[in-house]
Amino acid sequence: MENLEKELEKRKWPERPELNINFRKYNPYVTYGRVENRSLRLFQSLSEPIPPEECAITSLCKGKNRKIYGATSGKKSHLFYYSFSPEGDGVCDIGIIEGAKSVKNTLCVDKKGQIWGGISEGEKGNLFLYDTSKDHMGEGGTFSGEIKIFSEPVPGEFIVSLIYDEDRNVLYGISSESGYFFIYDIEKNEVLIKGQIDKNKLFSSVLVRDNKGNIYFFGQSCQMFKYSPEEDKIIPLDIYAPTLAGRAFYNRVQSICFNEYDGFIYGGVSPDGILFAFEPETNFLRMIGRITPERDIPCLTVGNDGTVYGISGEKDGMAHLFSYDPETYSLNDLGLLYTTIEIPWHGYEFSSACTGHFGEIYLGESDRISHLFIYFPPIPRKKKITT
Amino acid sequence: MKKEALEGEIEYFCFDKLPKHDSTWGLCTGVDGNIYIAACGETTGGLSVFILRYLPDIEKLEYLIEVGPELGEPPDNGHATQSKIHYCLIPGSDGLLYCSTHASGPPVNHPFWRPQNTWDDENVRFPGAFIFTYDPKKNKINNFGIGPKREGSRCLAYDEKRKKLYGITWPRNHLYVYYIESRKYIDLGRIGDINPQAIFLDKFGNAYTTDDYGFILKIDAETNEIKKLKVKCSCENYRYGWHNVTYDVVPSPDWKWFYGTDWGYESRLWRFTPYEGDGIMEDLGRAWGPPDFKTDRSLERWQVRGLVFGADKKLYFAMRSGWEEEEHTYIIRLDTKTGEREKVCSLTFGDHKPRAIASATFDFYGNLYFAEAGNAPTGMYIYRPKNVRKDKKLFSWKDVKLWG
Repeated sequence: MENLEKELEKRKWPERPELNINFRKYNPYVTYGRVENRSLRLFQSLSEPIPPEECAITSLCKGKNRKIYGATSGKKSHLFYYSFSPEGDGVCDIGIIEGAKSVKNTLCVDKKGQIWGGISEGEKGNLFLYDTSKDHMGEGGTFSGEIKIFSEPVPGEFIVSLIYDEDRNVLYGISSESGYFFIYDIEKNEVLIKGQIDKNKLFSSVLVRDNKGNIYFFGQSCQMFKYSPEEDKIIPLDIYAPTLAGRAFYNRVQSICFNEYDGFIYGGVSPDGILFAFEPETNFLRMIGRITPERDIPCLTVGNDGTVYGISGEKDGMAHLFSYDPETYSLNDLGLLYTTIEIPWHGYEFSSACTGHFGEIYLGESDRISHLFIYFPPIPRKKKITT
Repeated sequence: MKKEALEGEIEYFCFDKLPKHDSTWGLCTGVDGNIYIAACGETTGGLSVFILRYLPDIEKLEYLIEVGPELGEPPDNGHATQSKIHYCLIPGSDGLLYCSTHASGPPVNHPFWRPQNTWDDENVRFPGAFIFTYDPKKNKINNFGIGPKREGSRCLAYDEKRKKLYGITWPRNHLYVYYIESRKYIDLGRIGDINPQAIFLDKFGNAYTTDDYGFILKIDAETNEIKKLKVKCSCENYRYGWHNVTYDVVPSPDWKWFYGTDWGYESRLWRFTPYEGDGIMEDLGRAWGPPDFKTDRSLERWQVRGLVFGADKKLYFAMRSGWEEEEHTYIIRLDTKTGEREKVCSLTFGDHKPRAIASATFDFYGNLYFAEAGNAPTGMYIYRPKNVRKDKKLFSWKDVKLWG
């Protein structure tokens, strides 16, 4: 102690450098466009939010009625809708999905406007159906329908990906353990298991459909496969989702979306956090880049102008919103999601995304306490045409 | 420096061997009756927290240990530094201090630092909060390693019976527990966006803190389940209570109530007892000041902090008088039976004014200690009531709270 005190008397202490800094340059938050969030409760706080540990938003889709439908994961799984309406800007907790603890990116809307989903963890990997026709939120009250539970398409396994094909009125899915690719025919209430994606059960939990109706998924080392409904055939492609050299064994495609604007499929891989684009017409895949050092790209969605939006983040990380402009090939980190409307809150962890009717971007937070974040991309200023 | 105060005197004690250290967050009374102090450096880059000791018997200050190098994190290694022990300096009946470190000090030669800007930067980021014990007898640190990765630990409580620490991280606001014997760290998840500055324990070892709106969260001692209670810290009736997280909480002398204040814009006092149902919360109103003073636009305007019960069983705290033409920070004394508030003294010594009072404690003779934050070098104030005698102890170990 005495030595320390003597040493302190002689110590040369560091100095603080002169502050000549434009702190605006160091703002880590999304400032291009606007961010809001909604608590998972009725508007004007008429209800308690969906409780902590049950509210991680792990699946989102846009309904034909313009409402946003979401499902949560945790101790229980809830189905909810968000009404983007002047009459009732809030979240209706439709109810608990029986036997479910997780619904991961399996919500989709059919041509009647009904919402389909698959249970990703819980008691059984059942399909479920929700009729949206009663959904309404306003001063007079909030209304919702019933959740119907269907049987599990692959016995003993859960559903980790589900998409809808409007042309054929079928659902395509992947089972959790064995990685079976299956088709559920809605009219016939019939399941067809088309095959196991990889014999070693090394597969990615994503499916995507292009504008020709072909379905794509990924097996070992992120090799791409195409299912052609016309030929009723799974075709292995000599195409692999990108990763850092030597790391293909660890690689999984974590998020995927089809962009009608340019006809490309966009995907994000984990754990190397790389965004890629694949052109189905030419079977050409290219790496776009890595957004942040965080390992995951848990969700992607396409804005109304063709811009791809996504989250670069990871569990226990600090997620960044990013955008990719297919016109300029520009990959932009937009920053951390922070807002004071409705709830002052930093969003650190996200798992799901979808695009709203007017091009607003919905992001499902997946923390112990979670909110539905809404990003409003900026509207570019138009120049007046003069002759 | 000393001056007269109500029924006693107030002394300012500067830690002048640490000229750049600017805040004293951790402050506690050890089982040996000595005062332990965490002198922190959060403005100048490249500083590590020091643990100091004040010996009331001989009125002497000792500089015990520089913490960062002992944890393998020298303050000039380029990382955001182990600059602070915030409200995470907790005494044990075994004589040890149970501690975890906190962030905000910049890397050496950096003018500022924010965790969000450096989260993924391995060279610059804060590596995490170390959990450790300090043995004053041996002047040794027993390092348990990093608990919360890349985050600091804002506050800590110690359940001696279960050998279990409760803490809250910053900036992501996760609640954690750490089991000393098994060295097991468990992240219980995020509890809000605004960082509570206090987590406190009832007689059964259950822990309590608040969510962003001042609702009390109870963490079950056995199951670690987090339950939001239907009681809330008080606020003005036109507010939802946002930012009314706990700032400072002390037990009443009989340990039936917990007196606290918020890190809010209003700076009210409240008292809470958890022992019936969801507990009872009573509003004690604005801590001090004219009845019509407004909720301020500045969060740190009133600075109600440093709560401590004196041997006279009155609640002492510090508060800034933002409504006066010339602002001062005062020590105020509240008679919790009558609600009467008295000005004990200002903490202005000539040109020296504290920017904030961070925390408070007592020695066994009944002197009260108030830690200062915001000035370099940092220091503390000692209020010596007239009735204090060195041959008579008015407090003992059973009066010491095991949280920061």
